[in-house]
Order: sequence, then C-alpha cells, then structure tokens
Amino acid sequence: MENQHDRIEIIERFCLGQMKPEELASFELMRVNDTVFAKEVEDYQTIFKMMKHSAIRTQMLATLTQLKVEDPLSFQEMEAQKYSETEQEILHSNKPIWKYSLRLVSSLVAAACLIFVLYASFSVVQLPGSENDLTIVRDIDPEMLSPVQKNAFDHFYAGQSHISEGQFNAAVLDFEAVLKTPNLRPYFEQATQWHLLVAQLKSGQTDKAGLLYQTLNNQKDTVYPVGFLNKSKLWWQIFWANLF
Amino acid sequence: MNQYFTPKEIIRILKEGNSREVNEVTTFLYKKYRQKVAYHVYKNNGKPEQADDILQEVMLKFLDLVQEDKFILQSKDDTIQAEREMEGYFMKIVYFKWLKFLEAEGRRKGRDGSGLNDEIQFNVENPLEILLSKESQKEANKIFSKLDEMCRNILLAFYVEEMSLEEIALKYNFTSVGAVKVKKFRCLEKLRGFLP
Repeated sequence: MENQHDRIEIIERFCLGQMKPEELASFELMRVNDTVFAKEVEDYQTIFKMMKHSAIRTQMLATLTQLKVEDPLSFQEMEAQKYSETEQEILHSNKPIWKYSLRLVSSLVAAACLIFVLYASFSVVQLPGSENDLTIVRDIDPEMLSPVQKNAFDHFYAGQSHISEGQFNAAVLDFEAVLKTPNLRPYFEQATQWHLLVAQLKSGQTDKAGLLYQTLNNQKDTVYPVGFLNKSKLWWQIFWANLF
Repeated sequence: MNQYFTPKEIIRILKEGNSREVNEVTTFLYKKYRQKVAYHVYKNNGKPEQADDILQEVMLKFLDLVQEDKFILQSKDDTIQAEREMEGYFMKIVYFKWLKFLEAEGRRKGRDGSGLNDEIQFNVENPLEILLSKESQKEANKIFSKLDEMCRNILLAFYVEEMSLEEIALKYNFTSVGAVKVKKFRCLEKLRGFLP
C-alpha cells in the first residue's frame, strides 16, 4: 500500500462489498497476518455501519416529526376504537359472524320473553263482556225467562259483581250455581266457566283453576272467545300461584 | 395506507435503506401502529400527546433493535406469521415504554411505593428491558456529531445518499473530484480518531 489513503480506499471497498474474490482472499490474509491492519478494518466497519444507522435514524425522526404535524392522534379515533371492542372481537375472532348475530337475536328474544312473562304475570285478566254482557241475553226476552233461567242469570251477574268487589269465594259459589242449571246455551256456559276460573284463581283454589284452565283450553267448540293474551295471563298466574 | 412493506423489507430498509425508503417505511409503520399505540395509552388513562411521544420513542427504539440485530424474524418465509411476530415485538416495546413512562410520572409526583413499582420490578427480569437500556446507538450518534458539518455532509452524501464524487464536488463547491476524495479520507480518519 502506497499511503494511508490507499489503505483506507481498499478497506472502504471491502466494507462496501466491492472487492473481487481473488482480491478478497489476499485482503483476508493480510487481516490475519497484520493485527494493526485488522484493527483498522474493524474500526472502519464500525464507522460505515454507524454512519448508515445514524442517517437512517435522522431520516426516521424527521419523518415522524412531520407525521405528528400532518396527521396527529386525536381522542375521537381512540374513543371510536374503545367503543368498538365487540366489533374488534368479531373481526379478530375465528367465529363466523352469524354466530354473533344469533347471539344478539337470542338475547333480544330472551328479553322480550321476560317482559311478556312479567306483564302476563301481573296484569289483570279481562274476559270478553265481563260487565253487563248483553250477548248472553241477546234474543232472549226477559219476560219469557223461566224461573230456572232467571236464577241462572241472577247468579251470573251476582258472580261478576262479587269479582269486582273482591269477594271471590262468593263469586265461585255463584258461578258454580249457574253451571248446575240444565240445558245452558254453550256460549253462556263457557262464559260462566271462564269467570269461575278467574274466581277460583283469585280465591286461592289454584288446583281447581288449573284443571278448569286445561279443560277450557282444550275445548274444540269454542264459542266464548278468550284471546291468546288473556289465556296467557291466566296460565302464568296459575303457574306462579301453584309455585308459591 | 399508500404503500405496503413486508417485515423482511422493513428490516432491510431500516438497516441499509436510502432516505426515500426510510421515509416510506417510517410512514408505513406509523400508520400501521398509531391506532394500537394510541388505544393502549388511552385505555390506561393517557393523553393523545403522550401517545404521540410514546409512538415516536417506540419507533426509534424498534429501529435501534433492528439495527443491532436484536430483532430477528423467526418466520422468514411466512409473511402473515412474520407480521404477527413483528407486531407482537413492537407492542411489547409499547407496553414497556408506557410502564417506564408511568414509573417516571409516579416518581415525579412522589407516588413511590405504589403497586406500580411491583409491576416495574417484574419487568426488570424481562430481557427486553436489558436491550432497551442499551445506549450504543446514542454513543454512535455522539461520535458522529463530533465531526464538523462539512465532513458530516460529505460522508453522508457519499456513503448514505450514494452520491458520486462529481455530484458532491458540485454541491459543496470543491474545485475537483480529487479534492473531494482527499477530504473524504481525512474525514474518515478524523472520525476513526473519535472512536473509543
């Protein structure tokens, strides 16, 4: 090597990977035999690496500073992310989306069912024409009533009055008396049975009420129309009464 | 996100990329991880500006770890797996940096002796902290900053920006290419003299 700069130039070519294989072999030999030269090579390797890394770091810092100004972080983005955890769970989970939809629908259905049960359990049963039921006496001339028929009507209306007054045991007796009347019209008979059921339930005769409910609910020739909602109310109220 | 880089490309560029590539990779990493970092800080009752600072520190620390060959990809051929690996590593640095930040805050507010210190104690055993505490990169920067501005410019232009000697002569008003060459070697010798 003629001078120091020639040495540096050779080392530089080695560090930058610009040497030919035959040149590289003699260079390596020189490194092994000359410890001073080996140290010099090591120093320049460190310097080249350091320069590169320093330049990259400076460039990264400059870019980051620029990005912080151009595209700063905001609370809105973080809030959005915080409140979309379920969404994140769905996105990063292996579960198919329909499972989450099913879970959501099931929850809604369960909530609706619970609300319905609570409503049915605590609301008042309203039977059709529970007061002054003209349909029961329609087309019948009160002047033409036989004493037996008249007695039946009297007990029926007395029973309704007792229910409204909270005298449920008396109401039960009234409706039972009505049902003993021979040859009752089906509509009138069914109306009396539903009223009797309410009276039995309210008077604590829940077993009897339960049995009567089953009979009425399974009846095929229904002429006294009690709707689904009121039937459900009766079912749930009988259920809770039997439970407690 | 305008441009995509695989973890393998990111590592190559952070080690030996030119300034354009480093700019692009930095932007890519910033956009890729900013929300995750922000979310972590926000979840822990931090502020947006703290998240910004943490993100910057984490990016620079990640760069140091890549350059020091402390982060080596295990899944070289599987890009998806490599991305997970890189993200996991990156987020570990985030968690650690945030704990260090809280520790510093706690110390500042005189809240030593809280449960926080137990957590920090746990992390001392984490090898990551040993890596993170290394100051080698800072030392290198310090050595390089001892050079005069002209030397720094010439060396960076030639070795980093890969400009030719002619271009450097033109840019920095040298009379000849030979003069640039001599100056470059002198700068290298000077830099070597600053090495410990």
